Amino acid sequence: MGDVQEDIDNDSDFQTTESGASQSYPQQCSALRKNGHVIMKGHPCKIVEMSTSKTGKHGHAKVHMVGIDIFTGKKYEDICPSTHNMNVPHVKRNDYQLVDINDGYASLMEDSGETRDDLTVPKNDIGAEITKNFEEGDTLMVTVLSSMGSEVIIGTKPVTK
Amino acid sequence: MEDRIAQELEQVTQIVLAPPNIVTPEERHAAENVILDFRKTKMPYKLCRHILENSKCDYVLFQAATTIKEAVIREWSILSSEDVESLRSFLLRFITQNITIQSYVREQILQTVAVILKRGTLEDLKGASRNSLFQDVTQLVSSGNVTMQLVACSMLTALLNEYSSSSRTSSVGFTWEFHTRCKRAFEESDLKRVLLFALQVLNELEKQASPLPREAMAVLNRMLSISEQVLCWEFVPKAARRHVGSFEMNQNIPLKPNEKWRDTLMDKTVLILFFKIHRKVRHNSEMAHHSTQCLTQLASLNGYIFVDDKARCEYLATFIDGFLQLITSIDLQDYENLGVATIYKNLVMQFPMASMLALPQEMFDQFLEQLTRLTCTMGQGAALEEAYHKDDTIHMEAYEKMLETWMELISKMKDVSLDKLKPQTQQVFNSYIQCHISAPDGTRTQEGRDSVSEEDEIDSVEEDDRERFSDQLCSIGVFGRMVAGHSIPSLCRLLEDRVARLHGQLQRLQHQQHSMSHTQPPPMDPHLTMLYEDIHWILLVTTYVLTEESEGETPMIPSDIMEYSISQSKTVDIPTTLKVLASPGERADSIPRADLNTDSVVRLVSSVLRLCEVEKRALQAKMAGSLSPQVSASIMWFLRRWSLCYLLPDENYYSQVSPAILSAFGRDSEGAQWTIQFLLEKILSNLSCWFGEDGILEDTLSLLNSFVDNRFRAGYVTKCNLWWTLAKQEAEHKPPLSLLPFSCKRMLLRSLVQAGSGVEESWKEQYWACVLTSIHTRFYETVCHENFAKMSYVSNMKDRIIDLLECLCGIAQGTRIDNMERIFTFFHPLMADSVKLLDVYHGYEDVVQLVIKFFSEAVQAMLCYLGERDSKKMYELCLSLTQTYSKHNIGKRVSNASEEEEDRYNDIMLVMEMLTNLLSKDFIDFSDPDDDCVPGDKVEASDVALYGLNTVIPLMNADLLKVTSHT
Repeated sequence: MGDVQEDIDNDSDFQTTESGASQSYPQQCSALRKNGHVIMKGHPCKIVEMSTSKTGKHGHAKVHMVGIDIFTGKKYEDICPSTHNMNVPHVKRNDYQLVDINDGYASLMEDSGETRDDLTVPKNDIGAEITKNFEEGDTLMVTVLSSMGSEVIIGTKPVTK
Repeated sequence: MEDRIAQELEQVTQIVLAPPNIVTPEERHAAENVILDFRKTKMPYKLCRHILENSKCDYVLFQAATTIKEAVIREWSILSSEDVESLRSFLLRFITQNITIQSYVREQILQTVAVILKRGTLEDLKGASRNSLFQDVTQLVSSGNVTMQLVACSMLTALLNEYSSSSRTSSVGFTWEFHTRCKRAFEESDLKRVLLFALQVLNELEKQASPLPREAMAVLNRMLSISEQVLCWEFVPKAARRHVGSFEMNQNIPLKPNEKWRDTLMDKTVLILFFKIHRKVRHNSEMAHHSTQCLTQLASLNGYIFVDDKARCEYLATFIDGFLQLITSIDLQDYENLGVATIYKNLVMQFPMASMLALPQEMFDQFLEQLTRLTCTMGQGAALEEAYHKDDTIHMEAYEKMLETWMELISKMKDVSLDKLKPQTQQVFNSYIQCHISAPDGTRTQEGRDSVSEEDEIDSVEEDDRERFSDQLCSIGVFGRMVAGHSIPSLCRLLEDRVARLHGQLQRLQHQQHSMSHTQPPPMDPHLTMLYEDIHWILLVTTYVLTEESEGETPMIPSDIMEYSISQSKTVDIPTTLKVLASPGERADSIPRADLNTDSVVRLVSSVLRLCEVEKRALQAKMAGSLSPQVSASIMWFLRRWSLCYLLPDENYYSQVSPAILSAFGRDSEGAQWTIQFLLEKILSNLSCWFGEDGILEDTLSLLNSFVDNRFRAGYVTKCNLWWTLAKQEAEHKPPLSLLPFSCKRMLLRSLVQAGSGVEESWKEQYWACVLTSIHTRFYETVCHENFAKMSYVSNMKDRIIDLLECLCGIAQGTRIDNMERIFTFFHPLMADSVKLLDVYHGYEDVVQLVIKFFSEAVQAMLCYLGERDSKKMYELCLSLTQTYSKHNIGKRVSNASEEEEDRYNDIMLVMEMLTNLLSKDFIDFSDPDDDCVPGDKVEASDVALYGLNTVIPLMNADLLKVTSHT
């Protein structure tokens, strides 16, 4: 288990394990938690706000939640009886080494050495940071979040030597 | 020169007071500095006098007064008494000659005068001026000019403010000691003078015919406020040292003046005057407030002022006489309620029972009668405020004060006899019930409540009634127990009636549901809501009547209840009582002779069990949507508090026991076995049907825990098949128990582990295998899963981990000395692997926190019993946990802005908690010292703790210190 971190990083057959599996699984509303994930109106969201309420003193618990689409940043709201199920997306994070940036596309290398060039550098603060640090010649790792068939770069950190 | 300075000040004032879009911050800053420099001028008196006499700018006048105030304090030693006196008389004259100046300037000048006087209090020469000030004030008052009289009032108020120990005192840098000496001197020579002064004016105003002219009202208001301030005075105690630092607005200090006030306050006309004045002003809320405050304080009079008991009793009689005349002749304004309640409370708190009982019989009876009447009306007012969700809670506050009065009265009368109070408390008890249940038995209003309950969302943060009203329910419980013979049968009747109605309603609904299948469950029927609200309140009151708060004590059956049950013994037939108890599916009154021969206490409990039965059947019929989660939670909460004292009670704690209670719930009784079985069924039903309602689950699991928190009861409960069913269901980790929220797992496992202590020896191994093995297996199935590392970030894998960690925390919490060894052996490998878990999941704060919590709980529960060898193992585990934690946190800690500020440092808090638990080994150690010595390196708890601190301290930053809940 000591090599777990590396195992994750160089896990090459990850996609294949996932491709057959469903993109989400049901979970009872009351079991969802803040900072967890949920599918709201078809979008994978991170739950940023969660509160329970009831209609009237003798009413039943309802869960009110606000989620932010993990890819677009769009906000969604939903309210649901606490006993109902909601779908929770499978969300994964992978770290890659950044090899190059071409026309706004990031060239990423897995630890196995395979590269991929299909992800854009996001047009936000993270993207700006990546571009800046890369141009300054730093060796960077980027974190890629994937869920429901979409992937996006969500973070970066310098390679620790 | 002086004109130039005055001009400059007027210029900078314009800058200072200008709106921000006109001047730059630099300009403003510079202007402020000019004023600050001016305030530091040496010997500024001539200059300031010039400014005061010539400037037309209020702000500059204000600054001039402030400058004088500060300079006098600074330069006091070089000022002659003539200087001081001329300054003071100049300032006062200035005010009387410039009555049109802004009030804030006037107040500042008067404050300056007051500060000058205070500074001179302790000096003979410079201090003589207080007498001349009083002469001036007398002149102002007798001038007959209202404006002058108001100036005089302001002067007196400024003096009172300056000498009092309150936040109103200006901060001019006197030492506390100096302040106290001044205050004492003021009390000795002047305070009473101020009151006499006010009394004189009040007397004159009272004689004038109503309505008073507007100006006279203004003076009256100010004089009342001055009287209030004097009567609220906190006199310097003889040993003043004890009061060091008590410089705050402390309200409701009882009035405790020294002997010198005797002639004034023992004068009956003074009391009568205040009652008369109150009648005169009571329709003006502000003035009524001042006058009730005066009366409230007079009601708290105590100390040396009374020569003897006779004097005390006479004063009390005069007060109560005036008070009763007042309250029986008026209808209270809303704002008078709190005052009246406080007067009652102060009288009962401050006067000994002997004085009360020495009152004329008739007067005391009337006193109680009015107390009862007003308590009931205030209670009704409070219930209305509740029903309409008013923000204003004046009736509620007043009602609570009245209940506190009753509690004090009851505890004081206990030594004499409570019989006199019983009819009254019964009335208050009945009125409380009436206010909270619906017609025809009660008066709870439907209008406000219904409209609210149908539409408004109630936020979960709103406090539950049981906590919100715990204080008043406690008092109502005391009343109920005083008249147990009345309260218990009537609660029982009410509850049986409501349960029967609920049963009927639910059956009707069920038929409707059958006839219109496949439709949405109907919205909550208003009749049902009404019933649920009734039941909820009956349950709350029943809980508080049958049980007392027992925080930190052994819960006991209250003696009043025990006596009441015993008193029924002659008519009670035990088999009938048991029949009523054991037939929850039938109506109690359908059982032959139930109404004549059943013990009422048992019957009341059985009516709650009937309610459980109705609920359970409704849940079986999939009618959860028509049930009230609030009521379900209230039932569980009642049963928990009840079972802690009534279920399997230890007879040795009681001097006398009721045969009915014993045969229904006592040890070795069939009744108790039946009850436990019944309650376990209900618990299982709740756990499988209410998994979306956290509140119910928590209360249900608390009830479950109450069955096993002592070994004796655990022994009984574990003989029950259902307990084993529960343990097996958990072990199989299948629905319904696997569907429980993670947070419930902790309590469930804790109870299962605690119950282990009660399991019979021959079954022990089997029981522990059932409870522990499955967790062990699941843990390794998860952690050693071949794809664990890959899957670790997949959320349902994380959920499994959280579930397991919650279970482990629960097991740790359930650890006791008798199962400690077994659990330690069980924990050791799991803890080692949990460190690896932390390594993998270091980025997920929920997992991180749970791992640390698990360690912290385990250390707390076990370390003090562990021998040296095992302790060393524990230290090593904690060390390795801390190392792993630090590996991922030192220099890498990212603050996540989306987290709540308070949650952001929870992990650090938990590490600290764990380290503290480790250190406790140094002073709590129950292990056998010769047990097992290990040769070689000794690891001490302190080594690990210090290492841990080294890790954690760099993570603490300035931000953390801002989070107050952590300091």
